[in-house]
Amino acid sequence: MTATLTKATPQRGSLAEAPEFLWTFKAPSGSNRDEGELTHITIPFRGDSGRLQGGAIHLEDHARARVFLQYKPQDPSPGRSYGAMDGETELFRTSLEIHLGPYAQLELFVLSSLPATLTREALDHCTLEEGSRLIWTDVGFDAGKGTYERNIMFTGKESELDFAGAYGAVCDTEGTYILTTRHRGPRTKSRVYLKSALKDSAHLIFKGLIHIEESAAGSDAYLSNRNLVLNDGVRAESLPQLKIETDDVVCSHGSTTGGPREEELFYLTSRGLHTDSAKSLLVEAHLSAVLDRLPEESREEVERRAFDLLGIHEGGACS
Amino acid sequence: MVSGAWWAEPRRRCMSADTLVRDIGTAYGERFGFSMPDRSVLRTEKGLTEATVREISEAKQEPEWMLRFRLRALDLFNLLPMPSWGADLSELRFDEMTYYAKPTEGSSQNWDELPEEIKDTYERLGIPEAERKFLAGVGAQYDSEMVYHHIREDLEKKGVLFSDVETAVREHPEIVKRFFGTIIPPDDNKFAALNSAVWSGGSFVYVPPGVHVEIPLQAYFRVNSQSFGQFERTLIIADEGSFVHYIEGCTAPVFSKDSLHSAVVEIVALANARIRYSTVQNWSSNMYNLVTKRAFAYENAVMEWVDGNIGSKVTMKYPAIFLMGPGARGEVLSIAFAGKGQEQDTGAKVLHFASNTSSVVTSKSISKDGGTASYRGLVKVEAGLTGIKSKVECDALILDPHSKSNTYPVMDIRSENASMEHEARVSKISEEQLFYLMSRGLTEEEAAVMIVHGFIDPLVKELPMEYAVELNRLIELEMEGSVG
Repeated sequence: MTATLTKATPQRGSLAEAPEFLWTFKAPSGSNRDEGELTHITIPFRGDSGRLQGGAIHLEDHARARVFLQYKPQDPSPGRSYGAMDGETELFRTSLEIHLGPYAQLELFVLSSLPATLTREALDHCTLEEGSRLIWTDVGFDAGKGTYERNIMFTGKESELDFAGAYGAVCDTEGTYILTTRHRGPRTKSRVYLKSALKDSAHLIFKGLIHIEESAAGSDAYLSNRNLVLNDGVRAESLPQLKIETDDVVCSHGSTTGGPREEELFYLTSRGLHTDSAKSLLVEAHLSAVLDRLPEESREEVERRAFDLLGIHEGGACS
Repeated sequence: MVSGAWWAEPRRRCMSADTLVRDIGTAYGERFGFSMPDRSVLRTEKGLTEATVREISEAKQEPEWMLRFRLRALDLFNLLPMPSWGADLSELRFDEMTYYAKPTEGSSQNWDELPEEIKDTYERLGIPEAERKFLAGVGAQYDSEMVYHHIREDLEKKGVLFSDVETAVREHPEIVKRFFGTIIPPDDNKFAALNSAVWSGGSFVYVPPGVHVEIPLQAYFRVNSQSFGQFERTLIIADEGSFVHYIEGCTAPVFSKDSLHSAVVEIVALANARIRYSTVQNWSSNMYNLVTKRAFAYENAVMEWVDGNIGSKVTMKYPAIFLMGPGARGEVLSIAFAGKGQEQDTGAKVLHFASNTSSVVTSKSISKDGGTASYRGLVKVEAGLTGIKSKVECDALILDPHSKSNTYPVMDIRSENASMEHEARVSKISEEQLFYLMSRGLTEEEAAVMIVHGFIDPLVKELPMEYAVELNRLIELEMEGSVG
């Protein structure tokens, strides 16, 4: 038995709220795609504003898989630009259901890079059964507005999450990232790292909740949010939250927000770098811990895109 | 018994009075929870209407501007919604409260002139003794009015003003009018509006430029009546280059019906001034404590809140510092202890409005016996500022599987030249620490109490000695029987 990817034709006329699974990735019990094989799934905006485009990943017990998901704008067709008329935006709504059976392991890479004409609404839900493990690398360079909500539910004992997100925001991008880890099974573990770099008048909000229910004794959770502010006028809001309902836990979070450190800038400029290049290098260093987790074949391209976007250039790129 | 633990001895020995050990092990009900017969000379009807507000204003023979202020605030109170977040306030009944009870005909500067019951109350709470020994001035509020206010003569000669707010309205209207209701306007929130409508009592402190009040001023707030609302209003102004340390303590009898304490505390630290405001809140377990506290710190001024919350049924309190001038510094040290049936929703807010300002928030909470302790805080940095530093640290201990701890911070940063750090940790008492201490001969309970003392020690050290002892003793009482 091997993993399968099925795609469905969107059904017109169904309720917008009922996720129609445009695609489903299934890995049957005991299957192993861990030998470097990566399944690529591209989810384009289908030009149907507000319609929910859903996908599902289901790993049965002891299955292992690596999946690369990419959200893209609609392929431009003759006579039609991306999505919208001048000054208007269209709504790209997506949902992702992830279910990991006992002792399954999923390595997931998600890349979203959408133009300012698309407003993104993402609602993802993951259920982790006993001993399962989800390793998620999330990279976002959407230029428009977006709300990204991820709920990760640890239903089984000793399930684990390792989530790392890197987000770049420039011009008047507005993004709200909401990540909830709900620990229900005992001895579950979560590690969440959210890193961002903000420029121009971008506005990002990070809301990360660790919720340990009374049944989740022995759980261990950590959330970190680090925001690099590249100029005055951006807005970084960080709301790390803890909701702890039992005593036998180790839970913590950390959040830092600030500009490039003067000592670091001074060091780099003293080595002959121009201030702008030094800042660009610091952005690279800031995000690289997350970007380094990407599969080798796509890392370079994503890094280039990130630094083109966030690099400090002469003159503003925002129109 | 934890009171005889060997490790506690050296600490107590170095505290001056032998009486400090005396009361350990006696319960809240006996020490603070007693009540005296009601002999108030004026008392409004239950509930809150315009007539209640007019009656309070008339009893105080206030100027017209204050009555207008109150009536506008009453409208706002009726208009503003209850908070949609935070602790559960669904059982709070505004209609069943008494909003004003005047215990005596006037304020006194001599304990002996007070009615027997009131004097007895404060004697039992140890206030006159504390005044003689440790304090530069004392104010004592009994239900709605400050029944006693006294400040040392040398400070009075230096121009330090310390009185109830009503006296200040009469005698120093120019200062009161300039600041009253400007730090916390009545429309700030529903409870600030309520206080503004029915406020009574509270302290007014003015420290002239350059004057350092080296030993603390203290106000003690006592509620004696049942289903009663205490709404004191405190205004402290430290003029340029001055210093003052103000302490407040509070207790109430244990009644079956709930009471409400909703204070407004407005603080102004002018350029180069420093103010420290310490609270040991030990209300009885039937008290809703919903307080708004805010300080403005101007150029190079320093504002420090030291906030201990032990008692009450529900507390919602987030002392705030607005850093208004360059070089201003703010610090909040907060400790909360949530026991059975208690919800301590506390925290801090720091808003940076000027360059080169810095802030530090340290919060520690302990929850046990099903209690809920929450940290809720805000740090905000406006755009265009440089040299901003802020650090927030929250530590929480949960002592049993049924207790809860929440952390809800918000960081809102709009400036490149800012450094903002936040850290929070929640854990139980570490088994390694318990094991180590027990292997040195302590019982499990003694070891747990010692670890809790160590946990809150950085905060307790910041309190004046007498309060530190009191807080330690309260923690010991609360901790009794907590393990095993």
